[in-house]
Amino acid sequence: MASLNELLSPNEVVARVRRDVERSVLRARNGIKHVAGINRAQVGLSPKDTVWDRHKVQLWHYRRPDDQPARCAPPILLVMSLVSRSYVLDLRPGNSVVEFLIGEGFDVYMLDWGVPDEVEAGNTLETYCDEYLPRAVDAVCEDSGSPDITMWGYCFGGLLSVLSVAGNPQMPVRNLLVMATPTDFSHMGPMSSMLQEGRIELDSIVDETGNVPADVIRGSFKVLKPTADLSSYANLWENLWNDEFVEGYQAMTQWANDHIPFPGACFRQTAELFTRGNQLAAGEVRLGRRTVRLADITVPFLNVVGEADHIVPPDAVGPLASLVGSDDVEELRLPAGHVGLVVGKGARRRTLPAMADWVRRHSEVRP
Amino acid sequence: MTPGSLRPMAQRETRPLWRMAVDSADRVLGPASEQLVRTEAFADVIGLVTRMRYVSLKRVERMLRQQWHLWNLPAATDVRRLSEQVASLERQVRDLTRELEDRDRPARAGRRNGSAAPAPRSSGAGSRGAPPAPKVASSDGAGGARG
Repeated sequence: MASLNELLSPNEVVARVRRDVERSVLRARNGIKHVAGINRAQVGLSPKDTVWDRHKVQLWHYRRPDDQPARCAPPILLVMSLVSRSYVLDLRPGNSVVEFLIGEGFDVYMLDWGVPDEVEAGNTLETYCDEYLPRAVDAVCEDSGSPDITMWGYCFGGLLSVLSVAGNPQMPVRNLLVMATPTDFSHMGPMSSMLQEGRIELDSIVDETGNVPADVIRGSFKVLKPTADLSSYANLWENLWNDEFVEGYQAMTQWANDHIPFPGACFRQTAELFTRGNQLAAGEVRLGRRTVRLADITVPFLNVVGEADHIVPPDAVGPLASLVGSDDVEELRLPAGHVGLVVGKGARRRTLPAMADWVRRHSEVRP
Repeated sequence: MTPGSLRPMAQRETRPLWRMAVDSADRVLGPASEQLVRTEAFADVIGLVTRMRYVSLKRVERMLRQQWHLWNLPAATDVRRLSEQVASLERQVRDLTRELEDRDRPARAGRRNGSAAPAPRSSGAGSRGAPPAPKVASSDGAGGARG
C-alpha cells in the first residue's frame, strides 16, 4: 500500500494533473470527431481485385505483398454470412483475417454477396449453394490455376458452404473449414424460438422489397445481449483519449450496426427448414429437388466452435462435426465469442493461428 | 509521450468510480435482461407488437392508396407493384440464363489433371462404413492445440 508521502508527492500530483488535462483535451477532440462522424475508421483496406462477379456477388482476390507467390496451396475461399458485411474479415490493418492468412503464405479469395434488393428477394438457398458457390469456386480455380480450393465459411456462410459441398460433389473443394456455423437451431436463442413457435409470422418481418430489413437483423442480434451497448459506451468514454482504441471501436461498431437485408425467399426457407424443421441437425436437408446429406461430405473437415459465442451458442454448433461423412474430421473449441473468433487480440494470438495450422496441415507448403 | 498514445487504461490500478458503478449495474442488469428476453411474456409482447405493426402499416397503406386514387394519382403501393413485376422479370431472365449455362457447362467429375481433390462419390447408400468420431481439440490459450 502506498505511503502517505508517496500519495502527496508534488511531482506525482503534477504529473497526474498534466495527464488528466491532456486526456481531457484528447477526449474532447475524439468525442467531437466521433459525434460529428468525421475521421471514421477505414475498413476493408487490404488491396484486392474483383476477379469474378455474378449479379451482385463479387469474388475478390487479395494481392500478396510485392506480388510474391503464395507458399501454401490450394487457395482459400472465404465465404461470409448473408446478413453481415464481409469486411469483418478484413477489418483494419493488424486486425484482419485476410492480412493474417496472406502473412501465413496463403492465397486468399473472398466471396462478397453484395446488398440484396427486390430482385435478390427471390434468392433461395439453392441460389447460393447450387449457383453462386460452385461458380465462384470454379472462378477461384481458374484465376489461381489451382485444381481445387480450401473453403472457409463463417456463420451462415459456413452453413451455405456445408450444403454446397454436400450437394455438389463435383465441386473441386479439397478442404472445408467452418466457424460458428449454426446446425442445431433449437439452441439458437429467443428470436429463433419465437419463429419456431409461430409467434412471429414470416410475412410480418419482410418489408416492401421482399427482404428482411437490416434493422430487423440488427435488432435480433441486439436482443441477445440487451445491455451490451451500456458497457460499450462506458468503454468508449473511459478510453476516448486513446486514438487507437477509438479507431478500433469505431470500426467494430460500424460493422456491428452495418447489417444487410436477408433475401426473403432464403429467409422463409431458413425458417421452415432449419428454425422450425431443424433439418440440418438431422443431417439431411431438402434442397432443390433432392435431399442433401451432410454425410456426403468426405473432404477433410474442421468445425470451429467459439465457447463464449452468445450469437451461435456452442450447443448449436457442436453437432456438425459428427454429421459429416469425412474420415478426417476435427473440431476446434476456442475460448472466443462469435466475433472474437476473427477480430481482436485473441483472434490474432490464438484462434487464427489454430485454424491456419489446420489448413496448413491439409495443404501443400512450398519452402 | 505522444498525444493519443498514453498509457492504456488497463495499466491503471483502479477504475474511476463512475465506471465501477456502470460495471455493477451491468452485472445486475445484464443477466436479468438476458433472462427476460427468453421468457414467454417477452415472446408474447414481441409477437403482438410485430403483428400490430404489420396490421397498422397495411391499414395505413390502404387508406393512403384510396386517397391518392381518388385524385387518379399513383400510390406507393402501385410503384411497389411495378417494382415487384420488374424484379420478377429479372429473376426469370436470371433463371433462364442459368438453365442455359447449366446445359452448356461441361461435366466436372474427376477434375483437372494432377488434382489432389477427392474422387467423385458413388451414389447409393451403404457405399461407405460409419466415419470415425471427430477429433476434438480445445485451445489452451497459448497457441491452439490440435486434435
